[in-house]
Amino acid sequence: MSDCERIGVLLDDYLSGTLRAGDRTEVERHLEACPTCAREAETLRRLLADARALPRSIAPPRDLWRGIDARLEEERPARSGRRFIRVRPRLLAAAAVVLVAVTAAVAVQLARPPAQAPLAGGPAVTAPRYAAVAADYAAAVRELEASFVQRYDRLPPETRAVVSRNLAVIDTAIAEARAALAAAGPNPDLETLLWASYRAKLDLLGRATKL
Amino acid sequence: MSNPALSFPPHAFSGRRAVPVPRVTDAVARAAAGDRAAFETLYREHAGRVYALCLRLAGDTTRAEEYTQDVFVRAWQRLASFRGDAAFSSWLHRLAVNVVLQDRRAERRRLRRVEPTDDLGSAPAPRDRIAARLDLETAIAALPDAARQVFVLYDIEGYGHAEIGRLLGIAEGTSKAHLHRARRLLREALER
Amino acid sequence: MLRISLITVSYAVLVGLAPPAAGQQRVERRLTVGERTPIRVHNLTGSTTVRGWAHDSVVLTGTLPAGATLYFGGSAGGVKGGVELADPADTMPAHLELRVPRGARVWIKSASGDITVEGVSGGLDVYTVSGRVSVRGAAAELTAESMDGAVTVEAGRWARVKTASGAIAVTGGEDVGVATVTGAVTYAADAFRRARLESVSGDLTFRGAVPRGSRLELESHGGQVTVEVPAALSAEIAITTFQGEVHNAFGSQSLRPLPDQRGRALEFTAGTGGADLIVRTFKGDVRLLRASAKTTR
Repeated sequence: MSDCERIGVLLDDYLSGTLRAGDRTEVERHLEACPTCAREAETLRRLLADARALPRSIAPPRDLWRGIDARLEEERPARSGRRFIRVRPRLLAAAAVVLVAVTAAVAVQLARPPAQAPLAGGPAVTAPRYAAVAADYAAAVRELEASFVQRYDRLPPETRAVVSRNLAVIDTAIAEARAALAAAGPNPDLETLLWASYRAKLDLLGRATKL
Repeated sequence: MSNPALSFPPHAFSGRRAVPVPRVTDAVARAAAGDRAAFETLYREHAGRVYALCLRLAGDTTRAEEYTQDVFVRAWQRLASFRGDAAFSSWLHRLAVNVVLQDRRAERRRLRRVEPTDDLGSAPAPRDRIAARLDLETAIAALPDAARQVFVLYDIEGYGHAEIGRLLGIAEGTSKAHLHRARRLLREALER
Repeated sequence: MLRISLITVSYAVLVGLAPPAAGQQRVERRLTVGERTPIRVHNLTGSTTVRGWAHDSVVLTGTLPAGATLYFGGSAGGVKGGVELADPADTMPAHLELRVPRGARVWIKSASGDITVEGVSGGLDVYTVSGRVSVRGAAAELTAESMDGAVTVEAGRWARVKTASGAIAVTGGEDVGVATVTGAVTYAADAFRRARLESVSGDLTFRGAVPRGSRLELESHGGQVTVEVPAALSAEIAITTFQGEVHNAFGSQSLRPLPDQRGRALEFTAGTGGADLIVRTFKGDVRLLRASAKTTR
């Protein structure tokens, strides 16, 4: 390591004031002799001073109280250690949208004629990689669905309708691809299509929760 | 390791302003008893500080608004557990850090779960983010998640590396590495 | 000074603004900036129109609903502007028109508003929920997203377009990615390097030539995939489908079943190869068509 590289590593702690005395002397000596490192130290020092001078308080761009107040309707301070939760009709509606996913998947699985059931020991759904990836996607989808349910009633009705409609289409596609995979065995092309549908769902849920 | 560069305590919510303590304490007590108006007073008093913290930790105004709301809803739920042995402002500050970091961690887990693919859709844009050079705030917002969080907590909020490590679930050394990276990236962004 | 007044005059000529309706306010702001200044615009409702011009200044004009406020400011380092509605639930439209330096990087966010951009070559990021997006004059880098508004763009070097149900029409570009759930996609190009169109149930259509060395991928679960290319097509073609049918105008080859119920595939080389054309569907039909002389570019 060159001197300058070594000083570069120490510079952080030096400017934070957390460097041991011996190292500190070394850094100071180097900075006196090396204009490049001295310049770098100066830039960093200015940066840190600017960072510390940033305002501690920034007024939110809009009044957030109304939104908070609305949510407090459903919450009481947890004084007794037991919280009373009133289920909102809209929350139920959102939960229903998500439920459609599960129901559609189950329905397609059930609708398959028994003759197409996975062959005994059929590796498609037990292949470790497929299973692991499918589980990961499913888990990621579940988490986003939970956020989506939370935000559902803050979305305008038209947006809710668009998102719900598209989610239903994706869920049917996922269910169809899964059913085909269960029947057909390991299949990279089918898996590619299934992952694409999962990605579409994650993307849509992700965008919907950020609206 | 503590952060002597900033000598005020990490929770110094009221460190830079004179808070009329008796009134706030009174408002806290009334809010804890379920007084919504008193809680609104607390919101008016602290919203700016909470929003600034959320904004810098999240790097995104929309998320910052949501987090700010989440923080106050969570505060309302937990007021009973606030015992008054620290300043309310410090308690709220800590709560805000937890709310944001917990959610960011969950989001990172979600993203990690999804295997990287070669599809075009997930390819990153070949450019620095628009407006990355606007100013220091924008440059901070454009930092990678972990680097930004460590920078905000260490260099702006005055937390130490050990504490940051605990909050973010990373080693102290990793926190230092993130800080180094954040400072380097900021320097580059601002010099352009 | 002279330049400012020239800009004012030319702008007044270019934009014949209608007088504001009752309760509306007309606004006008200007700023001198740099050629590549980043510009961020927030206008949730109504319309936002951005046009690139050869001046290094930003001029914003428009009409706002009663009670709404305009914020606008910045420097050569960056400009931010937008409309703050009196009530977040307010959906009265605000109409903004901006002239920006051609090379600027522009970021626009809306909810229900339409976004139109012309002649901005720097970079573009546009987001709307239900509004339409229209981009003319290829931005070097472009990201456009809408939930259910239609998106029509001329792609530059790099473009990514996404909708849930909005229709997408893209032309040109070098590196193009398009994704939708149920929207219909058309992509027309003859000099791209890499393009990928994907949907869950929306139909995908490509029209144009597949250049040597390029890679074109179309993937849909249930949408119909149409590829309309000149008879002189030269590419390695790989089509896989599970329940869809394939119509192939480029030869007598037909789908053959893959072993182990892995679906059906059609793979062949058209001409001397040298490019990749990959199509994958679950149940969508695939049509590989010869463009008639009229539609060939």
